[in-house]
Amino acid sequence: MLSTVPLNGLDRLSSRRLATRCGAFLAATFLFLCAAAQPITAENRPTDTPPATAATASAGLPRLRYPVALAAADKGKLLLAANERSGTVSIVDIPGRKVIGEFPVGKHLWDLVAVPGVENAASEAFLCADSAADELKLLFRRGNEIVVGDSLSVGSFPVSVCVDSEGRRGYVASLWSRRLTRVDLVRDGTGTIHLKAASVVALPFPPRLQTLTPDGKRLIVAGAFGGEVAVVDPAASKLEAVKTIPGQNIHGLAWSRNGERLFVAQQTLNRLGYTSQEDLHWGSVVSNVVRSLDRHALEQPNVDVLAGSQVFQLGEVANGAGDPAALAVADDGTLLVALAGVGEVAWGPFETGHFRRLAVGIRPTALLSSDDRHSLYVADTFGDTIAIISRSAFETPAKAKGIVQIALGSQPPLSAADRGERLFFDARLGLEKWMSCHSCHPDGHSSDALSDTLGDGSFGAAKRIPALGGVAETGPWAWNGSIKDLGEQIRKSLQTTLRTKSVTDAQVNDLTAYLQTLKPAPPLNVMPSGADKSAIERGHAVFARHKCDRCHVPPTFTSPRLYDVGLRDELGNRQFNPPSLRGVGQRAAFFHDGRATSLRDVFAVHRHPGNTQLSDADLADLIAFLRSV
Amino acid sequence: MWVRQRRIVGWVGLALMGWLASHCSSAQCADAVGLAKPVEARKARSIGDQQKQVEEVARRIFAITDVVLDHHIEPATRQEMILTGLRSACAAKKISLPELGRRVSDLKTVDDLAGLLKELWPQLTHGGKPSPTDVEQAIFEGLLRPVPGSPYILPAKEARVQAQLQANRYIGIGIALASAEKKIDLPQIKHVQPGGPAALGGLKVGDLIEQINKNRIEPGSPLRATVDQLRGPEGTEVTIRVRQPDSKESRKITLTRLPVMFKSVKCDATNGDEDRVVLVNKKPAIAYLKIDSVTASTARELASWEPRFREAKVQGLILDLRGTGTREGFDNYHSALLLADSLVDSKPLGQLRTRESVREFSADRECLFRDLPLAVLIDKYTNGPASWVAAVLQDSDPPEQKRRRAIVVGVFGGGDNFIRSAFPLPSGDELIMPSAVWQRPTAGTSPQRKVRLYSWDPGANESYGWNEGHVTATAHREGVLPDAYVSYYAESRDDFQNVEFDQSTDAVPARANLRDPPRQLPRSKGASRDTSRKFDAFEDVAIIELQQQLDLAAKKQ
Repeated sequence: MLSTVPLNGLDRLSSRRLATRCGAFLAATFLFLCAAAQPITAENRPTDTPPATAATASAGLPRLRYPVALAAADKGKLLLAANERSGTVSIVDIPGRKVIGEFPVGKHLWDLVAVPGVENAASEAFLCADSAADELKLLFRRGNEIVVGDSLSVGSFPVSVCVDSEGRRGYVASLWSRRLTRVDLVRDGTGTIHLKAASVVALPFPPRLQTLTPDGKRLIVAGAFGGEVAVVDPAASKLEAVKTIPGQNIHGLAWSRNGERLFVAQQTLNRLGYTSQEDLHWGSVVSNVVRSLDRHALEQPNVDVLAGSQVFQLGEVANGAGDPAALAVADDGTLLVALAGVGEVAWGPFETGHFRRLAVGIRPTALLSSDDRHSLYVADTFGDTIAIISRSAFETPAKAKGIVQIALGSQPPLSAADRGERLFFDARLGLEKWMSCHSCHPDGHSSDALSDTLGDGSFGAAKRIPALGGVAETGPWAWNGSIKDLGEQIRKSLQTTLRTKSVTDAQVNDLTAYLQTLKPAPPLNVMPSGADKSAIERGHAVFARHKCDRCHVPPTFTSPRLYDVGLRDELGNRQFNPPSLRGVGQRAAFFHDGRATSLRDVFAVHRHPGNTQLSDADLADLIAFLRSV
Repeated sequence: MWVRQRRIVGWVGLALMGWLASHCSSAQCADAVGLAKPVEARKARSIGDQQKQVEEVARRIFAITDVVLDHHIEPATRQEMILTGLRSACAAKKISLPELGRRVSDLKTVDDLAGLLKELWPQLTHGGKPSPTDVEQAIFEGLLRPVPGSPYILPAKEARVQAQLQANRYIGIGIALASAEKKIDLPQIKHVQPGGPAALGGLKVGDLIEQINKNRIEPGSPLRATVDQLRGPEGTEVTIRVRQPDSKESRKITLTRLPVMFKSVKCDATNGDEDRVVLVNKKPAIAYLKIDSVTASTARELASWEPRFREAKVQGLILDLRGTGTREGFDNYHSALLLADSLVDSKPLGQLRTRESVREFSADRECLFRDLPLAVLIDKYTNGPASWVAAVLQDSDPPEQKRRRAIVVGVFGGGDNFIRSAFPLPSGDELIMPSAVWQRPTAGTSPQRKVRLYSWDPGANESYGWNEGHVTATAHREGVLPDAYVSYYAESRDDFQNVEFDQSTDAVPARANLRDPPRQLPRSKGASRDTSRKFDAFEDVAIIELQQQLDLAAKKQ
């Protein structure tokens, strides 16, 4: 599909923007601009009818692909897209502006990186993570084809891959098993490459993104949900430091050109802000930012990670920049950020932090600068398209003709859950586009941060954000158990947390259908690492002996009633509905206000419930059991 | 009028225009504003009507005292309130009623009160002067007098506007009105908010309003009525006919009511609406920002200055919190908490104490101007919310620590530590009163502080400069004691009445210099003041203090 999307250029300052909005005599002009600048959204995009396409029919049957990672091939003539939903890799002919092939390589793909040092005219190698098969895949491009060269089992839910500059070592971060696997790329005499697991680094948090420092001496691994950042010595496979930056949802990492600063695209959530109209409007609840960290402060174990750090706001008042999802640095130092929740790309010089924005699709989640630096490629996950933005579009946004969009193939009609998924990740649903459901429930999980919503009926007592895996089975909802119907809870969250202007029944139904598909986080203790089976059994006995199962009733490990277990919130509420314990080992904070930050503290410090005393041995066993739930 | 009188300084847009109308102008609009809606039909009131009116007054007294008893942080007793209310009515009538105290203390129910009022009413209203309405007003005015924290009743219409102001989402066209001189006597535009619909639509300061929609404005008609016609919901239109005073030619302009933003952070005390970085000192580069009031937008507005300061290579920042109490209606404590949180890195923010609970707050790691030392200017017009911010900044380092996040500069701060909330009354009006108190992070520890005392010294050889002395000072009531006390500023010894200095009192007010403002700027070592700026003693001391902070920082490196 060749189409153009007009610019959504924005005024530099919020006040100017407001000023523009205020003029009655400007209203007509403004409306015109609005209409012209309307981004493609889930609503106005004709998803049921396959978009006209310039690609060949080889794109195949209508299906959902969901590209999430991009890699350049054949000296920039080709672009590869790893598709999460379809498990395929699409090949885009850049000069021809069309898809020339699509190849099944796995189940659910995440990340795609080129392996340096093996390319020749006809062949290149790539590494790709398959989160459903729990495998790292070595792919070869031969001409216009992709073949799987080798596969290697890694920890549960691999999500990102990193390769050193020689193409000898790769690193795979596995989210739910919280591990980093070093993989050696072994060349045999025939020139073939094999994958060989070399070592594993256990991480104290679920990881997502990773990046090697420019000198290759350190590997930085960021948390999937919260703000943890691990510093790993890749040669020794040693975890050197774990630091925490404020906020959550780290979805972009990139080094400055001089390699002295690491840019982090993420979100912050202020627990002191209320999800009221005014606090949301003024950006006092959720902010979408790029944080610039000093490399030395990051790497040195005993230095404050925020020393010398800076924060750049991506959004502005009345025009939030929901859900930054990818970050790239152009060779002139310009920062480029995919704003997945609003379907835009933001760009600006990092010195000033003045970002301009361009509408590119439904949910852009991956960016790649072309080899010749003249273009930026953007993967629109829900749109199943690749957008090519020419450099001139950024340099003279007012004159830009637009963006070329290449459809990876046609899409079938969406199911209710598919539509719900789009809504879940859509920050346009939230007041002034500050946030989506995903902002606080990343991928349906939780950052375990606190948020002061009306979920508990009032402002003033911030509550821990619940994970949504298995949520359909764990009613009633809200900490005070006041909501008996999931749809009602979704409607309430939209109305009083996101402050959606008008919530339709269709939206609620679709979101309900999507939430019903979310599964609880897998337990830590049944990971391939294996766990002490007997400890889990003993822990189960402790769980039963202390009658934990009266409130946390298996199989959902919750129950519909309210209990007073000696906890009190700031407003004096004492009765809470017990949260489900499924996947509890994957959580970073516990109780309604996150007062405990480890399972051990739940019992050792807070003596939950009431004033329970546990022996050290029982405690260790109980934790082993909970991690297996 | 028994609605609390407020000090209004200058304009504050259409919103405050309402206040100007209701508080400062003539009695003609008093009825529209009075909280207790006086019972209508005053003429030839029958005995039955009078009975009903008295019962209604009793009910309203109970409703108000109920709200106070239920929610006020330090409520007076119901009997105290009723007694003061009745005494106020007696004072208005210039009579005294024997045994009133005992009779009031026997009251239990609203019927008891109605009975007492019915008995007293003839004496209070005898002869028709003051009118029953005035008696009523006197009672209600007295009712809240014994209640701490200056509670007041906000008419329903104003309550909505106040909520909009606190959210900095005022809906309107963005003008401030006042009555023009008697000769013309039409509402006149005194201020046009930059960027607002009125400004963009071409309304000008001085314009006289002749007509709103289809209603001609009669000369001398209440300002209040004009305001009501101009206000309306977001997105609605209003057509106004105006003319300049010296012109016969009218202009007709249609405007859409939209959110009007009032900047709460300004780059300068005057003409501060621009976005330019004001450097009050060039080397080191020290920037200045004035916080007019602490609203929902303040933290975000400050954040917008961060990249500009980075570009201008600013090394220190003066945050001017003086006079924040002069823009009533804007400030609120939730915003103060958000602002304080945005200025410190994981430090305690103090406590909020209600009748039921004590809530402790602490800041997250997110922090604006992380690498800039701050100087916070306060004076006796700094209000409660701004004082909380200053206190949090002051408490973010131990008192003995030399290098500090922020230095508080000025004189003993104003404002109380009550947190006021709005409570709805059955009439639809709101009772604004303290429902909580804030306590600074170091509350409960010694109120003594080491203070650097700056007094102005013209010097023997004409080398103007600051005399700096170190004293220990104690604050006698809640409020913020500056780290650097600018005694030069003190207008009189009264300015020191809440502070006790442990050393010879002579060192304190430096009265000799009060009437001798410097004609030249101080020539401190290495000073590079912006000499085009009007001399400001607070600012000058702040620069000296920031310079010392930067020297300390340089030494450490």
